[in-house]
Amino acid sequence: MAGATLAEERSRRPWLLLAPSALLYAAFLLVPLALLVVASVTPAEGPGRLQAATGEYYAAFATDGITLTILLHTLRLASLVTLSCLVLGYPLALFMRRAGPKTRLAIMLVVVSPLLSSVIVRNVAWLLVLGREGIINTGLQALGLIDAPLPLLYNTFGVVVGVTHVYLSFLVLPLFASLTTINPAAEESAAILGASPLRTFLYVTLSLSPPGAVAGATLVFVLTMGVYLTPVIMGESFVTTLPMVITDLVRNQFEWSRASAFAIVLLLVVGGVMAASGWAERRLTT
Amino acid sequence: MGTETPAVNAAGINKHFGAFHAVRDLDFQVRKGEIVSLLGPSGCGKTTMLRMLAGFVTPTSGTIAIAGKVVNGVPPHRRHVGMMFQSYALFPHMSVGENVAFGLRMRSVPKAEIKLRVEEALRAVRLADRIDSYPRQLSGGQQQRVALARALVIKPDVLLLDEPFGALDRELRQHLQAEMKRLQRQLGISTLLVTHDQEEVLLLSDRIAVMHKGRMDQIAAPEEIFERPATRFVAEFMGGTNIFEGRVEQQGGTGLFRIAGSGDAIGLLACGPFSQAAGAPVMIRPERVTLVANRDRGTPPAAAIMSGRVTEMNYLGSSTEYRVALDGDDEVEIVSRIPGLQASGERPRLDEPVFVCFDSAAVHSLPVSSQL
Repeated sequence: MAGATLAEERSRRPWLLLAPSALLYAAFLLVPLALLVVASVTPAEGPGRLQAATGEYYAAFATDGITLTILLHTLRLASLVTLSCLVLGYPLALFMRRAGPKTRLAIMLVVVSPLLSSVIVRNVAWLLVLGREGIINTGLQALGLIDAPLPLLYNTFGVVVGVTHVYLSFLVLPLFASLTTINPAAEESAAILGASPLRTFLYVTLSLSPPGAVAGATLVFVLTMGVYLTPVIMGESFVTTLPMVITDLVRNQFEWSRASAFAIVLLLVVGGVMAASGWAERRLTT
Repeated sequence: MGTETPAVNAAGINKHFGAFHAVRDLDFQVRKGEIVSLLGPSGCGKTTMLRMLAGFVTPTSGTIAIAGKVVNGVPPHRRHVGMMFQSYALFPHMSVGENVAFGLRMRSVPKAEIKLRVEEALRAVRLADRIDSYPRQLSGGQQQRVALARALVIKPDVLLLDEPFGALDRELRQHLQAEMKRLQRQLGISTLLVTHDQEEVLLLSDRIAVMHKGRMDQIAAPEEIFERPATRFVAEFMGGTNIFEGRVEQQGGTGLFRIAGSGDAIGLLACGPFSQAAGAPVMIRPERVTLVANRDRGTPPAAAIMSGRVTEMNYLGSSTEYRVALDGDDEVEIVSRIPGLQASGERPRLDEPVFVCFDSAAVHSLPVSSQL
């Protein structure tokens, strides 16, 4: 009987630890989410308001060619950022794995530094680097390599650069963590069994890194789906993403219901991406 | 053996890591079909030597030849060597069959032949039924056998084993050691084993190389290493606890060894060439020392060499270990290990006076300890 009491006590305590954050999430996530769902099916005006739910805003999203195009653009942007993070992040994580503790810490600080600086400062700095009069264009022109400034800003390229810069850490850190769990002796085994360095990398290192890579790529993708300020500053009106449309609906057009419906759609797409990546990760690791 | 090309020929090997001299002037061979062990405490350079053979570490100087070909500068994947790591290092994302097939795939062996050879290798380690399992579904002992099959299936010129039994518990370890020995004899595969385990090394090796601070103190057959260690370090590492400093005196045609600081002298009759220099130690293995209780202060038996008093008694199951303080000097102790067969009535008790007996042939002289 004493054992049962002890077990009961044990099972009660963790729930107490959970309570503060659970309250926070309930008040500031679940309740607003419920309100968002309600708003998305509430007609904006008319006598039937609050009595009858409507799916018209969802239908509008699906039938309006523009919103679907913007969703596709947003997905494309997220894919490009994820891809560029993978391309830049893999070599970096591999290097960190082999580096000494001091070098490793220095790289980590550099990778995380964008998260520690203000988004405005960061973006203005990028304007100075990538703009028509920025150091890259003036430098290349001074060297005589180009005649006219390259279009580095106010297009998808500029936004990808800006977003990759901030979110690279979300890919590098989980990837690095999963690389450190690979037994170096497994790679040595591959070598002694006759695998060249390239084949060792492909068959062992790369094949064992998906848990971290998938987790990191998912984080970057999902975060990019919701990114707002960087596309606004570095893409101006030339790059439109779904979060920009939703913000515009609320701030300028006061279309709360439509904005809510679009937000729910964005949420569902992100949820779908996460579910797919979870499934992919299980497939890759078993 | 004679003129046959050795599986491994290491000549004049040195390795420096910065200021640290990890391996010094090492020369040794692994002949075709034999197991040679590198034995020594951690940090003695044995693992560095193994990794130089594998190609993961480049020697600072010296020549390594595998199957007659000099391999200095040849990367690991172009040496035809099998290696088993202490952690086994199986590929966790590949099945047992895929793990074993890996080396053959890298060598572009035809698929049908790979299948046959993988099955054969797994049968040899008695794991044919686990071909589709994944490493994490196997016990430690099974993983070890998969690692062995994976190393053997490529029919390497030499098999390198890095502390292969270190991670297993005692019973399993002994079982797998016997299995490994059987397999090695059956396949006639030249093997270099690195270990710090004295029991394992005696069981498995044809020859043992004892390493100490980067040097090789002795390379010889197990009996030789155990009975006639070449240095004090080898004697101590092989559990030879009775090592006495002293000097040799002549007494009527017989050499007598007088232990420093004690009135007792050990008679030396047939112990071979003996260093006369001061400080040359002698060793007597504890198993060769017997004790006779001196209860009624009687006359000593003929074999008695010294007398003393039991200060410590440790029951070890198959034997009992006694520590005896020698008469004349309490500082000097001799250890005796007596098999558990002796009738309990005759066994010396704690604090009892005893006669210490051993054959003078049990006395082995060591060279004057060279200061390394």
